[in-house]
Amino acid sequence: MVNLRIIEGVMIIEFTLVALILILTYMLVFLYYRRQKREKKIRAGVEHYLRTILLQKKEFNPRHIPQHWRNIQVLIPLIKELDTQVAAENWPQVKHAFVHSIVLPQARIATTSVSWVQRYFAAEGFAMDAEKRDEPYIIALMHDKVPIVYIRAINVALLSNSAVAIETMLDRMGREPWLSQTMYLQAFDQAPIKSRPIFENELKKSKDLNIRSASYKILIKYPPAPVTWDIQKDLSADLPELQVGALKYVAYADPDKAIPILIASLKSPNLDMRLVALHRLSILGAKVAIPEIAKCLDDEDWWVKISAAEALKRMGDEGQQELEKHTPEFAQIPYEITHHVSNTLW
Amino acid sequence: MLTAIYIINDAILIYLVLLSFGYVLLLAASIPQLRRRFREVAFCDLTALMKSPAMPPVTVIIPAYNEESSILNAIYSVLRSNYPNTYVMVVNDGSTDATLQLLIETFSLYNITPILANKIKTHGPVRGYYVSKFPIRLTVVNKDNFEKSDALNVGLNACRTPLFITMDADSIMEPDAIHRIVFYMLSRPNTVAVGGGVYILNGCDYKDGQIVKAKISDKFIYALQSCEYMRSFLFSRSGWNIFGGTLCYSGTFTLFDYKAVIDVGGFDVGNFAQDFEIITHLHHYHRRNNLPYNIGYTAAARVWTDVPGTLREFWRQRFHWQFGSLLSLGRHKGMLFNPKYGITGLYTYPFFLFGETFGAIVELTAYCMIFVSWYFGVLNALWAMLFFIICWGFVTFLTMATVMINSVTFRRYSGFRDLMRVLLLVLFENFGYRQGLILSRFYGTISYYWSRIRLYFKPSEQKAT
Repeated sequence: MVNLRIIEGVMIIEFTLVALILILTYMLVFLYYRRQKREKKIRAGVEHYLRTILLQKKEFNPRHIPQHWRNIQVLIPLIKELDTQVAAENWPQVKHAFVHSIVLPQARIATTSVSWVQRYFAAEGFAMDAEKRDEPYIIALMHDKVPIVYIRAINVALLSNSAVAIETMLDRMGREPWLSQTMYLQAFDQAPIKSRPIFENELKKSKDLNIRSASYKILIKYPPAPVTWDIQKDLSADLPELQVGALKYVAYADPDKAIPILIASLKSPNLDMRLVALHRLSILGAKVAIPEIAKCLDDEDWWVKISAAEALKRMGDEGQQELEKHTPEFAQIPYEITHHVSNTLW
Repeated sequence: MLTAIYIINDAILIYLVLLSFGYVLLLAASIPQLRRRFREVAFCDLTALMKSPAMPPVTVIIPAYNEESSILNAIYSVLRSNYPNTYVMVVNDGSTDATLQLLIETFSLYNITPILANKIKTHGPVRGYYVSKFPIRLTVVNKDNFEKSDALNVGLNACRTPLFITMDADSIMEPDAIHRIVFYMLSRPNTVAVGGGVYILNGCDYKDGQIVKAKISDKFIYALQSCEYMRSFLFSRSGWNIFGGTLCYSGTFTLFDYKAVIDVGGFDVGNFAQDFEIITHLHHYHRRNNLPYNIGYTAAARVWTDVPGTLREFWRQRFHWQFGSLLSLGRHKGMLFNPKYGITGLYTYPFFLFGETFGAIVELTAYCMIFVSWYFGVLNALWAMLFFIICWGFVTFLTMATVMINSVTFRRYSGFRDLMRVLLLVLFENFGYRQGLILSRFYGTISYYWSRIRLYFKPSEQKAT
């Protein structure tokens, strides 16, 4: 029989533990408010100093910012806020001096912090005005495991237009899972036009299929420009994603040159290639492709059949006539279709 | 006979002590999560960060079956979200009421050619695919009725974003819920699923998908469930983060990585507790294939949902949960005490099996043993007292602690009256509510094992079908 006194003792310990946890929580809350108060004080102190020198048109002196005030988690949001509020003409010079003497040194230290929050703010710091020597730090942040950190670092790399950083990013992007690829691509929405030659150079010289595939995905976000590299190799590459990327790009960048390529792709063993070709031909309204598109109505894949039917519908009277030659089964939409191509619905 | 009674009584006490120790561990483990929460709250750039167009798009999939009274509030709450890249997808699961008609009229929907992938096999055929004439990111998929899991799978086939959230049609999401849950995912590498906090909507004042005032309902059954949800969602799920994540997040509000769910074959049709099953399956799949992954929970991302208001509905819900949990645990029994599955196999799974799932049976047995012991004249008063202290007193104390923690950290119920009411209700939980819960779970357990026995003795050709 179990000694009930032992059970009693264990329960007293457990009750005590719960009470201690409750006390600990309240202590944490207290510490949190204390820390907030301290940060507010730092923020108020720095803001007061900056506004004073702006008013008196003095130069920024980093010695007036003590070491224990140099917390980038507080300073960076403050600088961003002052950016929107301050209209003084000497603010850009003061900001420049502040960022280079206070923020960037702290950001370099924070790059190797164990806290991802610090590393994120390091990326924010570099985004303000990174120097050439900060490139290794930015690249290090681009290899960070935490998505928020490396995405911010990618933004910084794009803004800095650093060829090394962008190549590093391309190299990583090709191997990333879908979520990260989407975030990379979205980061490029803000990329400056001057980054474009970097990706075109990659397509001219890189032999890595993943990098080439990523480059096509990115280039499609820029305004169209003629293709100046050998795209045929990519259209028959071993990597299906590269084939599709190349096909999409040629249809986007050079529609006239693309039509024969798209027609040839209707016979591709790669399902995605056939789908992309059908979609682009229908958008281009290439009536010369109608006979070949009609052959796709007999494709083994339902998705191809439906896409072919949709493409013919868009080709006007000639396309409609071709469609009507076939049995009414194409009027019934099948409810399960194989889908491998990203297609915008919204 | 008497020896057997003594052994059983001792075993029950030891079990309860170990179980309560497990809960203390969870409570202690939830403290680092609270600390992290304070740091995230202090992360004042969150709003600016989450407004960045670099943030990944998210689809909120809302399966709906006969939800004409609540579906609009659910949709409005998602459309109010301040996360920039949000899409809403309602899957009308063959509703027999005016759910679809209401959606078509309210949002001026029109039918377009459906372009659905076939990544996951679905059962109920899709009958229509609607988008709105207004510039809102809403899609409605109309399908024949099958099951909630099937509706979710249809939603998955139509989903085009790398992340998706499952949400119930009788729920209301807070405007920053998506921000906070996506933020959690992006601040931890390799995260495949994140659970959010669920609060009780019944009793609150709300309008057009927005909570006007959060308060505990005056109705007893709702108020008691509020206590239970607070205990479960605040400390239990938070605490599991340290142990690699719990085996269950509420289907009312969970964020998933699309590819991860596709890799495990989507939601399991045929299981009432599809939320339990998907999370357990994700654990099993990633551990078996040695893939780095993280499954977490954040109480900061919140959704408010309707709960059963009658005893009958409550009983059915809890029965289904218990049955579904056992089904999932049985399906993934390879994880039990298997070191290959790391802490999930060595601690999380056993805790859920022997603690959460069998706890109801043990407690019911204990009540029976009190009677049996009294009948045979061997009832030990100290034993009985200890049983009630551990079983009732400790859980009551734990819940009170949770409520008090909630009042200073998340502050969702900030009224003093509400706080006092919850603390009082916690005491009354043990008289009736707790016993009803145990009975429903016990019934679910018996039903599950009886179904297993019947399946075992079924002829093989019937089993194949």
